[in-house]
Amino acid sequence: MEIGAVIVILFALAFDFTNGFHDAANSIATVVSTRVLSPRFAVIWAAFFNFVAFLIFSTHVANTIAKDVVLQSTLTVGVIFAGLMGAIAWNLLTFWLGLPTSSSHALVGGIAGAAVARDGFGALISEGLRTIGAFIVLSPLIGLALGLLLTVVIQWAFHRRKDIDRLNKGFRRAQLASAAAFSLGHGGNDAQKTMGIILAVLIAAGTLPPEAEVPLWVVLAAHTAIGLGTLFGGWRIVKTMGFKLTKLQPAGGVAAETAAAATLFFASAQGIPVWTTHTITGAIVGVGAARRLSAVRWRVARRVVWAWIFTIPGAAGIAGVFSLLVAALA
Amino acid sequence: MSDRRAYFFSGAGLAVLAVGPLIPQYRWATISVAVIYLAFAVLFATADISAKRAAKRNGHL
Repeated sequence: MEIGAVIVILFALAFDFTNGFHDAANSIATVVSTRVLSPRFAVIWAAFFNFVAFLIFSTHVANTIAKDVVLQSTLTVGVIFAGLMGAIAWNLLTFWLGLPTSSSHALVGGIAGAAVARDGFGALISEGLRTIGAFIVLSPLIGLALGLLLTVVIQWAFHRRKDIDRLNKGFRRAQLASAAAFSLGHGGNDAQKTMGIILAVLIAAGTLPPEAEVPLWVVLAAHTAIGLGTLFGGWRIVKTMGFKLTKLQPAGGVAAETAAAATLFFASAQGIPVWTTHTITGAIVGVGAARRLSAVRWRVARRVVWAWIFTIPGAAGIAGVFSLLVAALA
Repeated sequence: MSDRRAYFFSGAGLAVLAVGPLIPQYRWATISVAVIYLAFAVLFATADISAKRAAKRNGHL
């Protein structure tokens, strides 16, 4: 394998690490905000389930990233490198600003931007991008609907119970399972985006044929990188998601995490790269809205939405500049 | 409609229906989610959900 491809694979794993650093913190936001686990144990819990997700999910999402975003003829090692650099730069910028944007958005935006800078808009695969784009809107809305539905079901099922302490204790235990499910969903969907990038590099470098599936070493490397990233994750973002959006009780935490996990499981099974940040945000808003709309701190939610809107053009722009630099230096 | 959530969930349901045609292969999923939203919009517009109020009073959620 040529040295350029090896370097891009290392960058892809570094991106996966920053994804854990940046996004995986959301897996534990609710479990920390309801005081079920201390931040230290919550991080270890999430990292473990991020890693073991490879035992459960297939690699449909990886194939989507590698084959359904940009034409394979455009997807050279240089374009993938530029796309990754755009995504990593955007991730670090938003991490520094404390904005809960999506690493996955940044990745798709970066790869698309680098490809457009090289070959124009004809390099993009419209059907794949349309599905990804539709789920940018749908994934938080599905999370929100399920979060709302579960909250109302829980309210109806337990509203006559008077022993609140015992009930809360039960929900705290249940939250360990729901947080684990969400971390599984996160690991399953997000690690696969890196696998998709590495698969694309291996195909572009001629190491694998175009119809190849993701090799096992790539699966293990991607899950290890995201798990380690989670272990070193950032607390500024945890605070935005868990503490600022709405006040959560353990029952609300269970509802939010279960709703988000169900959305991620569905998306991973369908091969759709969705955004864990979006999904859990939607679910948390759904739980808050079941009480009353004013329970959601809309100013924080609006800031999150603006950060999302700027992510794809932001990462695409940076990646486009990198792509032109790579082309000039090659 | 005195409860503002009726408007909020109507809007969310319509947003889902608007995005649906972009992904015809997931028509059943988008329709299901839209139905959930619109059902909640109707519920919040018309019903007095006493269980919700009791749960709130007891501090469950």
